[in-house]
Amino acid sequence: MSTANIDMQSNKGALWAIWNYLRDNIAVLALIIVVIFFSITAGTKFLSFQNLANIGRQASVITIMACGMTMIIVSANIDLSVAATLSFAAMLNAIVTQATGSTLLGLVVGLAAGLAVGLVNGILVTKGKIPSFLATLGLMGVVRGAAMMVTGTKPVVIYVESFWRSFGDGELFGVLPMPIFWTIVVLIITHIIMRYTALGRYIYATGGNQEASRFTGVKTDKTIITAFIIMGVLAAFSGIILASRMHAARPGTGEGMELNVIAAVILGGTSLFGGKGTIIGSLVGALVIGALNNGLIILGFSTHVQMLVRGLVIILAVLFARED
Amino acid sequence: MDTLTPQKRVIQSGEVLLSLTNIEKSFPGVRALKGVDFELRKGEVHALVGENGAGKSTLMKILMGVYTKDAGEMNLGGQAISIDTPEEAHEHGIGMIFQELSLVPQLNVAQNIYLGNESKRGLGFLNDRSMYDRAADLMDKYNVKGYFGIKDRVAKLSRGYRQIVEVLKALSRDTNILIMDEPTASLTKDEEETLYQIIMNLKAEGVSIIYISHRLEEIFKNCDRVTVFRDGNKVKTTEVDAVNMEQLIELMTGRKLEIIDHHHTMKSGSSENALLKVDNLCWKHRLKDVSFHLNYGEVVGITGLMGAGKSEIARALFGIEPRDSGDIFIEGKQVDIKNPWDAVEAGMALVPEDRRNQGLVLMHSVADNIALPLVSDLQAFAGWFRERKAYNQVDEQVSSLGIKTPSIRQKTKYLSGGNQQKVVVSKWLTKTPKILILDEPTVGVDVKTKAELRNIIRELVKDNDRGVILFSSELNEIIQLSDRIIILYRGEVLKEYSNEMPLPEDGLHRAVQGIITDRTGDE
Repeated sequence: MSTANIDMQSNKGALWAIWNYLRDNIAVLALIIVVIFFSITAGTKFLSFQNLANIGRQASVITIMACGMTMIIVSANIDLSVAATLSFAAMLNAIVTQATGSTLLGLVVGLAAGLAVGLVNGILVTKGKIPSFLATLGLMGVVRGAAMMVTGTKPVVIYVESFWRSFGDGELFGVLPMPIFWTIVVLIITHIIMRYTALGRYIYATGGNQEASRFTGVKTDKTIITAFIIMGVLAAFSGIILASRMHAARPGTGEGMELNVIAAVILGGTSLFGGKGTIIGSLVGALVIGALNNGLIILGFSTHVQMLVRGLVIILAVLFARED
Repeated sequence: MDTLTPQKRVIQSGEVLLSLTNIEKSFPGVRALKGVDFELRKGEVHALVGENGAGKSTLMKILMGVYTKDAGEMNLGGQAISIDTPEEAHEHGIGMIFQELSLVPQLNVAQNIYLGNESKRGLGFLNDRSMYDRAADLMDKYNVKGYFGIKDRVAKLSRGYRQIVEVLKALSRDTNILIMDEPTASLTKDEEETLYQIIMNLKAEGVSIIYISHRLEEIFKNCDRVTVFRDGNKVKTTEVDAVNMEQLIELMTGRKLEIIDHHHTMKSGSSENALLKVDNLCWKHRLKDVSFHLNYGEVVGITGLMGAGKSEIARALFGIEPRDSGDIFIEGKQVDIKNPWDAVEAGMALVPEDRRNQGLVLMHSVADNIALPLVSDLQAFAGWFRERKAYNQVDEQVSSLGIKTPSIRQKTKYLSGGNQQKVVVSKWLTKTPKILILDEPTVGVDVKTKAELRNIIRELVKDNDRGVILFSSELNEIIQLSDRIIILYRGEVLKEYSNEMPLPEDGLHRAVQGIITDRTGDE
């Protein structure tokens, strides 16, 4: 993507090329700075294998949703309902898993809930011609309300060991925490979709210029609906992983998390105007936010400071990113 | 005369108000204005005519401060002036009515008239009463009361009335020179009459009007003088009474146009075995029972003035706007085209009028733009897109059409207009469509690429395996490329010519104006 500045390389040397690469991929620079900063200030508390695995576990929920959000934002839309969908799906998943003892059945019901929310979002945006900001803002309230209503705001505790071990708790081959494993699976699948499939092409084209894409025979409505469905399913999956890690689902889980997800995607170089962005970028963006939160906790700062610093980092990064 | 102070000299009606001398302007690859003079008197309606690209719009944009002239002088009321921004043009009392109206539909008439120029009480509070009083006075002065109220929301007004609001908006800023660019293009007959009436009122109030129109009929009805432009030169300025339409057309086209012989063997005009047949196409009030057909190996040129229905036919055929009625047959089989992918499935391709907004994803590469229509064809298992195969075809297209780009990964926004247009054309050629619809394919393209594009269009049909429908308002292009020519006038097919003999271009010009005097093309 950053091949345009090769000609600059010849006269300014390799440092200049690295500099330009970092300005094009601002999240990488941010990650380097964050990691160096916490390595110095927090030392091995931050850099230990144990803690890095922690960061991975904590970042997994945001990363999975950021994968879906990348598709949504590249298609020149936005989805504000993801955190609400996460807790709604987690609630249904918990109820079904706890009632039946079946991990699979709970998974299917949870994902189906996410799919349904995504479908409604997609139809409102395309057929209903409601700007996605408004459609998903509305659904955010509806879905969050529904999540509360299921149990009258009471959490649902899950005592199903196979469920704990499948998503949140266990480790694959005794080393790789399950949330990280599932995040890698989602990253690979969504990266392939965006980079190598027809659907990916259509998402980029639709986001880049919806009118021209329609004039070229691209089914833009279908493309946008599909992106919202994938987003809904991934939000639901995040909720299931979270429920599995906590051994419980709470209707208020993840409130405000949609903004972290959007921040990760934008930090990762996806254009809010659509047509441009990568899954890898969003991964790096999510890691920046994950490392930042983790490091600040280790240094003993409160959540207020976390919010403040996160906000500043996003503003600085976007300011510093190279204009195209 | 000399006793008057220079800055306050009052210009009497009929005296020269504005004079432009030796104006020059070049764009990359084009000399748009080659030293042009123009003179406007106070209180006159002065028509500007010329074919597309003759330079009239460029001159007006210089006058409005949209473009900066390369050389030349401007003189207003006896004083040399310079205009570098639209704000400066407004300060000098020059206003322009654009074809795309600049009104805010949610606001009412008075609010629109004084938008950005509101009456205020201080501290930023609005003085509504003063604004409404001023609006009422303005409507009184130019005698436009009775059409609409000052508190009517603009959204509720017809296009014609909106145009009047736009005129009032310009006049509210002490405008004494008003430029109107094709003001009647989208108006109904009645709305037109209203506009003419207002032009008369403005004239009586001493406003000078520069009137750009392709409809010569209007010029004879409304204007005092006319200036003819051709190829960036001013050909002549004359009293309208001193010329007739024939002479005007001759001045616009100049020499008889040499028709470049493409050695195209003429296809018969019969509709037997037609590749495409369109019957009684209707869309709102803008297309009325349009019927025509296209044969294999044929270029059918469809032309007419702005608003005659060219783009509307293209959009209805391609399923972009749902047509109200009308049947479409491809190779004798009726097809129901409801959206663009139905059209693509049926073997059609559209090169739209507005390549930057409708033809290209500007932020994406040449390769991705050309490959986009191929995505649905080149899929392997599970929707996997066979990119390498697509890019091979892209490479072929880029070299066969001679698209100038440093690499196929270059973003299309960095290409020149002509090369962008080649990208739009070539993205369809990979799909080998049977029916190619080209809407104004050479507009805004430099002369050399224009010629190349025209050659490409003729090349497309040489194997008799497809047909091209060419919508163009450039008559020489239509004559040069078409096997048959269809003239549209106000949404209807006025006449069909078979391009078997070199056609008299001025005959076509008359037909485009809605006047049929020659009988050459009759069956």
